[in-house]
Amino acid sequence: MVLEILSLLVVYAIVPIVISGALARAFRYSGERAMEAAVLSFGFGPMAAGWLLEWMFRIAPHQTAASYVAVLSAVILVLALYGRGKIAALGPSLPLLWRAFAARDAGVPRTVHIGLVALVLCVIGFLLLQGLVDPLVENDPLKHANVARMVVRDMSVEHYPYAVADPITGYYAAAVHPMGFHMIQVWLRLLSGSAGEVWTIKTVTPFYLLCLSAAIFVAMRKFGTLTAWLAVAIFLAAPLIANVARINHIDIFRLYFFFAAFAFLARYLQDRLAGDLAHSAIGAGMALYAHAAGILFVPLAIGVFAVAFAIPLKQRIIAVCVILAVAGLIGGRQYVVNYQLYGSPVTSKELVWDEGYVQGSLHTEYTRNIITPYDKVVHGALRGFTQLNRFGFTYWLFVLTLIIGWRKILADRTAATFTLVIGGFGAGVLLSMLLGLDIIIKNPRYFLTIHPLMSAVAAIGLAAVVRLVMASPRGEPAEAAT
Amino acid sequence: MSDGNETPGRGERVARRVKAAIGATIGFARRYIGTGRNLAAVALVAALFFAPGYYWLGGLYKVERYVDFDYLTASDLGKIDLIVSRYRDDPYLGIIPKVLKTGPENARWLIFREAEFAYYGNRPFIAHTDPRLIPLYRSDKVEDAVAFLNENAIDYIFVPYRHPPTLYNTVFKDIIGDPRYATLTASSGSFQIFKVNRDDREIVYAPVVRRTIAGVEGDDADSSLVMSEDDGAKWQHVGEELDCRVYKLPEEQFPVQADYAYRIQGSLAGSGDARLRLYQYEPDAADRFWSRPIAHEQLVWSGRLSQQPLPFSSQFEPDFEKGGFYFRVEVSPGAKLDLSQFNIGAEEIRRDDATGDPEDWNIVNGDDAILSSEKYDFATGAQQQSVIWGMRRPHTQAKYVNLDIPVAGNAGYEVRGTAQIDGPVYMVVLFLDDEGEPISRLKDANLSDLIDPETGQFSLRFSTPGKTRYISVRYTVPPNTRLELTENQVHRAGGGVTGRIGALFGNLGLLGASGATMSEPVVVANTTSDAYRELFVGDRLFDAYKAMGDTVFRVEPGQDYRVRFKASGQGRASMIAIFRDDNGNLLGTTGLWHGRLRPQTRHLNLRYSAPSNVRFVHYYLQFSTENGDVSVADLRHDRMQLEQVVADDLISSIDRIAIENVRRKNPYKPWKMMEDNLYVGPTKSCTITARDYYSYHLSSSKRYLITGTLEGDAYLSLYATNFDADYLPTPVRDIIWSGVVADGRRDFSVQYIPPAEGRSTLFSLTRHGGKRIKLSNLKIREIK
Repeated sequence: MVLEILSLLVVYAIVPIVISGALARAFRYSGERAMEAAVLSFGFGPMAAGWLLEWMFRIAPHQTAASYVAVLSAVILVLALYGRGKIAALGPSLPLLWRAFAARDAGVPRTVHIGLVALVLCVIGFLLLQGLVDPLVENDPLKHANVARMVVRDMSVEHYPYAVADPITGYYAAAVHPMGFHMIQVWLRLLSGSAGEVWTIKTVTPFYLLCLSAAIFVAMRKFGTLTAWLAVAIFLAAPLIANVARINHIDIFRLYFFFAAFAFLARYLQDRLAGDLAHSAIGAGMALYAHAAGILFVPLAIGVFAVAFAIPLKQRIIAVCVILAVAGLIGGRQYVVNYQLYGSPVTSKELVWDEGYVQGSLHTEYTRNIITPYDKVVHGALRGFTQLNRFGFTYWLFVLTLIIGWRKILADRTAATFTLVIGGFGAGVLLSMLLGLDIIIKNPRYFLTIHPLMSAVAAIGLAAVVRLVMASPRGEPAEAAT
Repeated sequence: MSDGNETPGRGERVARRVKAAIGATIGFARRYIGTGRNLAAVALVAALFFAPGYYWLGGLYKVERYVDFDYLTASDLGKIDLIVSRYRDDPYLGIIPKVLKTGPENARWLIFREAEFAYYGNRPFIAHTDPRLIPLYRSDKVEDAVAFLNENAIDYIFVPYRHPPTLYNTVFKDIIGDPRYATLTASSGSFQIFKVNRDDREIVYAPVVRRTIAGVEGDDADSSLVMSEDDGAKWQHVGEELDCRVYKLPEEQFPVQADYAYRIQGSLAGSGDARLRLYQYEPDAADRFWSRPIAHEQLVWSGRLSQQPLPFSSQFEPDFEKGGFYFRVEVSPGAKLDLSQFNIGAEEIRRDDATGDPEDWNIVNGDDAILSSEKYDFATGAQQQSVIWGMRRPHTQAKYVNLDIPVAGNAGYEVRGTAQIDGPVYMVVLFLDDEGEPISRLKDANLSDLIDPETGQFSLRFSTPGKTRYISVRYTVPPNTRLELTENQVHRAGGGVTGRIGALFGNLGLLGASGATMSEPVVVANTTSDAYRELFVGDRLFDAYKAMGDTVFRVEPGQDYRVRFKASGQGRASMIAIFRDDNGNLLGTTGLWHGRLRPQTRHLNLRYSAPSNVRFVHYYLQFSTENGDVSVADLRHDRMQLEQVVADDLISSIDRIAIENVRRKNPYKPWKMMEDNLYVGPTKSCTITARDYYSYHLSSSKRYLITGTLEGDAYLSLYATNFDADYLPTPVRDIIWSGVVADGRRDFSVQYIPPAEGRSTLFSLTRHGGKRIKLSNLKIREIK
């Protein structure tokens, strides 16, 4: 138990702080900017360690657990020494962090503020509890945990993605996803020294739920803390988010990197600091490394740059090249492997699925009820609007924001970037439908890709409604804060 | 000067005070309104969480698991028993312990669902998605599949809850659908384990008798059932007229108190056959609020409807304080239920336990008809009959191994013992509160799954609900089965940190065995199925012991009667009236009373109205415990001369509200399943329109082969629902076939073992999306 608590401390506290410190030194961040960047990139740490671990397994497989831990610790120690000044500066900047989260907007009564914060914290707390305590019982979480366990058993990643069945158990999966999620579990297993019963593997999703909530908050802070808390609330209020969070699904994890990469990209478009671009590129690489849907970052980011006319064309081309290079370096490997194995960089189809008599596609159409074109549109492409039991009111609030808050969206780079990305995703869904592909519409979880971005934008509209409803403290007009 | 100045001064002061008061009032009002608006703003945001809150309720319902350290660390193989005990309603995990007990560890499996098996199963396997299977998926010859199974030395096949297309569309459907190739050896929650047969065996089949729920028996096992596109109203019905379709009344709870006795009465009119049932959920015994187990269910009325309103009247005493009662109506296809005549009245009858004398019974709500027995002379009743009570129900024996073992609430316990069995034996753990009343129970554990075949030892771990003070362990033995229990002990097991440490010290021998020991060697003799007698009481039996009056009384149709008797003893009992026509054919039944027996003699005075075309009635008492002396005397059967049975006006105010709610809503609303909310996966629009029921008597110690033809254009599931023959009967529903039938016809063949020794098994069909479906040629055969 002590070992497990220590391992959690290392993975989720020490390593993120070290990585943040190193990044802050590399890009000369300080003060408020350093604090915000540290919060937005807090989840990069465990992922970076997992990534290193995968390469260690590739370079020198079949070593003892202790030797992997020792090498990884050495790398972390070097990074800690490199970023020691910034890490030491984190202490004094803690009050900044506290003020950022505890601040109350002018014009927002205490009742509303406290009620809202308490609501969000209760929801997060309960999701953490469920994610942490309930055993793994769902299909995909069990498969990910199984892969991690087999990697620890073999001390090797040579069999992944198990497109040839595992020789010992027979485990077969035509997986397309890179190993980001698995490698963090592998790391936790290595630290607790067991291939068997390790409860700490259930902490990955809860940790990233915290990271993602904090990232949404920080990204929307400039609209005031009311909007920022509302953005977190809308994000959590989608039942599908609650569901994937409490069963330790991979989605919360992948959404964090996708969101953080775009949040940094928006900052780059605002201030044009090389550091933000680099953070964005690293985040994009990790999004690619987290999940195959992360590859959507590339076309969407290119689309954003294509219309970012305020920046000179040459600079935009350089930025895109930087992102492609860094992201490809970090997360590109699996897509090459996929192309070699399945003939396509991203495919989610089992090889047997349409062989001979199986008729798997027909089965999918019937079980997911996307048989007719009408079903495909209403239950497929427009499911964000029609399936309130999965997506909550997020899509409707987003539309509301487009109507009543378009001025604010246009005036702000973050909101504008997010809206562009959402529009780009919608265009992609439309395109895939026109091409007759079911790949995006068949699974509701794929729509979650843009969910944090949409929650952030939708909060602007909801904040306006909340301001309309609540009473303003005496002497202050309700609109004063914005 | 002073005078001159005081008056305006006073006026000013008054004016100032008035102004101040008005100002304060306005300020207060503004602040108050402001606060209201602020709360409304928070509520607006909180409303966003309505939908996810709906999902979380499922987890919130059993909060104690979040303070259990063992549970927190239960994520892997070592604790699969713990996980399964907590997730015992989860179809995906219940099968895993059976996998772990099947065959040697190195036996190879062919599996049609990977996640749970791969993570918890600990057996080598070939997955159904493995490309090595592609040649077989292209083949339509069973021989190829047999050859593949032999080449790869595959001994077992693992079939999941819902069949994947790699199973139901390919040659493997013929392997699992034919007992010559594969034998069904175990199943749980619709998951199945097959053993591959390597010898050419001869299979002998025996036909299975079909029973319809209205009690007419036939020997043909062929039937058809059709569901058309829309709701129940437009259905074509194929089959006998007596097969019933179930409608659920909107579940209006009507609140009850455990210390009171209640009576419901009313009348039903219409045509066709109908049943009215009353049921109560277990208050806190489930993980999900929408699938609470039914604690008890009572038949209120069953029979054929006529245009004349048929009055019914039934008494009951609630098992639990909480939970409330619900009503359900089932009618046959083509039946009409006239709801303007459908009333349910209920009243509270306060019970005084001091003497059991009816004069001490205090009627709360004013009606004197039912218990005013002083008008009647017990001694001179001409039709007085004596009945021998206490005959054991032969096909099932239940034994309370030990009653009232004191335990602590919210703690982990373990039942350990040694037993020899030669068939399925079920173990039930009842949790009792400080008054000895059951508050919930552990679902039946099949002892053969728990038992180690070599040593004969078994153990079952569980944790007690918060209010538990005693537990009771009980075993149910089906026909032709022997249970020899040589040791049976209850130990405190790891629940919470202290429990864990305690168990550790206990293992080291430092503390000795903690917890109660209740070793009491029990040999339950062989039971035989020769003595098995089917006694019709609706489709649920409330056993373990029952007695039946041999005397048959003659009645006149449409007249009111009452039956009175004295009863004493322990446990719960039901009194049922069974109606027959001139030829002795069964017409229907009425549950007259359901309640607790007391050590003191109680006088019960019940009444009913005989349905039309009834000529004979006999009474039937069933009760739930062998403990203590159950005795019933003074059974009388009287025509009521002076009293009119009135339906409506006896209702107390609270009950009237509930009942009006029942009436307002449309009871023809078909029974909808909440499955699409339970699992993320199937689409939102998956709708279940209704189902038809056929009933068969199937035994859990036998295997069956079910064949039939499906036609239509839909993704559909065929269910078998098994009602166990237990004191608190629980329906267990299994999917026995599921898949896409797209614009065509498909023959299916599946093997099935009922999950519990049941009284009846019903088959039903569910459609998820798609259009019309039809099931025909349903044949059920026993595999000898």
